[in-house]
Amino acid sequence: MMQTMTTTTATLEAFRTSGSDRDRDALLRALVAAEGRAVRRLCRTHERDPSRQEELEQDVWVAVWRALPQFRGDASLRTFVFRVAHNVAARHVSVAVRQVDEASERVAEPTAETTDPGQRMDRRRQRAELERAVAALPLVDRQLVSSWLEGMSTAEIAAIAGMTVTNTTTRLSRARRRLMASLGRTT
Amino acid sequence: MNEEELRDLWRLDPEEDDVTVDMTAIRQAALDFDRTIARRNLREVFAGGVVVAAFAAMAVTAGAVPQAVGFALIAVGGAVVTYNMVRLGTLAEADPSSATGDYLQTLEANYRYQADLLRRVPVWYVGPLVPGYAVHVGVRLWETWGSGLVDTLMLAGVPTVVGLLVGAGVIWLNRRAATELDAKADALH
Repeated sequence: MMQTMTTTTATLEAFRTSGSDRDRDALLRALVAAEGRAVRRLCRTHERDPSRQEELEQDVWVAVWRALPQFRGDASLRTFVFRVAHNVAARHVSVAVRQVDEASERVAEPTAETTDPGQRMDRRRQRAELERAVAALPLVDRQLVSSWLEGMSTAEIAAIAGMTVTNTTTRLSRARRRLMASLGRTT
Repeated sequence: MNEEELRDLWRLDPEEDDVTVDMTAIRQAALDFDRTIARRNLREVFAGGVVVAAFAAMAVTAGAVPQAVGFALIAVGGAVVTYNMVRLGTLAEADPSSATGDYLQTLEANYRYQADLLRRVPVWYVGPLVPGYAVHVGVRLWETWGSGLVDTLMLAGVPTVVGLLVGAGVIWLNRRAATELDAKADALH
């Protein structure tokens, strides 16, 4: 993790100095290595269709690549990537008009494999339920909760959402209660 | 389950593969995105230019003054429509690197604006073409008056009905598109 952060910082400095496409590519690769899994998790809560998930993921990275020259360092690169990812995902939801109900319907039901009594399978089933519960939240709540689940601080989440820390705390708390209530119903 | 356990569960990836990107595909998609926007604007101006040029040529070569006036008015209407499309249709794209709250606000405002624009198509798209078309049909009606019902229907009635149907179709399609845009805006909540 530390090594990934160092790589990202070094490639950012290189890109800022040269402004070249080659360094921009290197920076994007470093960001994908650092945040790729988190972005994939985010995409899964905004699009349930696996092939469209891939498209959405690519759209996110295209948008990040296009936006990189605008990065001024007023927030961390992680915050920057998540802003873009949340925004592209929100646009994707609106363009496809994939409402929560429709998305929830497409969530795969636990298969024979996931009902395996083994602990690993049980964790996967729980993971799928968590993802479904997050995907069922209203758009803004979904974004707040998914950032929180990624381990971001309230200040970071506020910077992504463009809200005050107080407002973010209140909304996040409410969204988490919704999530827990939803999980309580499904588990 | 406490908060830490929930976060651990969240980061339990069902897939073990590392996430990678194809830089060629990323660059190509970015290029396509920019080209699509540039081409869309160019296409609108080009289509408008063709309509204006065609009707202007017909006005110049028309045999009679009333006919020329009708074609000239359609050409002027086409120019007004093209100008309206460029003026009204140019919107600042929401910046994806802006804070999510600002982005969603801009995106929703853009959707609502576009929906409103599409609902007002009778005014800024169909309207400017009506005077020229009305003169054109009027001239045909005048020319065929007294030459029999069949001639009048064929030369004046058919263009009138076709014009009305095309206009109504354009308005209906745009209203449908406006409803879809409203749904997109609603989906942001």
